[in-house]
Amino acid sequence: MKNALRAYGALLRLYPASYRQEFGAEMLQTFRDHYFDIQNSKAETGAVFWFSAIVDETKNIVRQNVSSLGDANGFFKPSWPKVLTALFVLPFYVLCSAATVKLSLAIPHPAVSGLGAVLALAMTLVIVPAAISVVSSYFLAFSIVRMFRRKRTASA
Amino acid sequence: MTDIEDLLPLTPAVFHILLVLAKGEKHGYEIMKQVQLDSSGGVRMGNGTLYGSIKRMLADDLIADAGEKPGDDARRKYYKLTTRGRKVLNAEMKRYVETAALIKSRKLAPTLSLDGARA
Repeated sequence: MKNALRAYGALLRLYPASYRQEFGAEMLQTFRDHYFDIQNSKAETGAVFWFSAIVDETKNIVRQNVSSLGDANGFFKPSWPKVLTALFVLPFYVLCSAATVKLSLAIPHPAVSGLGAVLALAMTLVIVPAAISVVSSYFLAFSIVRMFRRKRTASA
Repeated sequence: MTDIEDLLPLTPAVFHILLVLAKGEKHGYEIMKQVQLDSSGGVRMGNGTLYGSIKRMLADDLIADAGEKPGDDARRKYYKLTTRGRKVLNAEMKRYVETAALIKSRKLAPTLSLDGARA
C-alpha cells in the first residue's frame, strides 16, 4: 500500500500546483480507498489497475496543464503584442536570410560559399519559420482561449 | 454564467455524477463506485476523469462542496447537487426521454425495451 501511494503521489506532482492544492489530498484519499478495495476484492489484477489509472491520469494531467497555461503569469502568459511580434519577425527574418545567402555566394571559396548558402536557405525556409509558426500558433490559441474565458467570467 | 442549454449535451461522466448526487451527498470514491454500478460497468471513471469533471462542475455551479462528515476521514470531501445542477440534470433527462420517444415512435429499435429492461 505504501509503495502504491508513493507512486500515485509522484503522479500527482505532474499536475499544476493550483490543481494539486485544491484536489491533491482528496485524490490521494480516493486512490487509497480504491486501491484498498481492489486489493481486497481481487476484482482486477495490479497491472490492469495501474494501466487504466496511468492512462486516465495522463489524460487529465495533460488537460489540466494545458488549461493552466493561459493562467500562468510567467513567460508563457500569452498576449496580443507577443502574437503580433511573432508574426512580424518572420518577414524580417526572411529578408536577413536572403542577405546572408547573397553574402555567402560572394565568398571566393566555393565550398564555404555553397555551405553557407545552403545553411542560410535551410534556416530561412524550414527551421525558423516552423519554430515561429509553432510559437505564434501557441500564443494565438491561448490568447483566444483567454479571451473566451474573460467573456465567460464577465457574463457570470 | 453559461446558460443551461449551452451545457447540453453533458458528457457521460458529468451526467452520471449528477445522477449519483441527485440521490444525496457523496464523496469521491462513493461517486466512482456508484457510477460504475449505475452504468453496469459501462462508464469506468478513474480518479483523473472524476476530479477533472468535478473541477468543471464546481466552476459551472452544478455541484457544491458539502464539507466533511463528522466521524469520517477529514480528507474525504463530500459533494452535493446545486439547484442549477438539478435543473441541468432535468434538462438532460428530458432530452434523453424525448430521444427515447422518437426512437419508439419511429420503431427504430424493435428489440429494445424502452421501459428500462435491455432486451
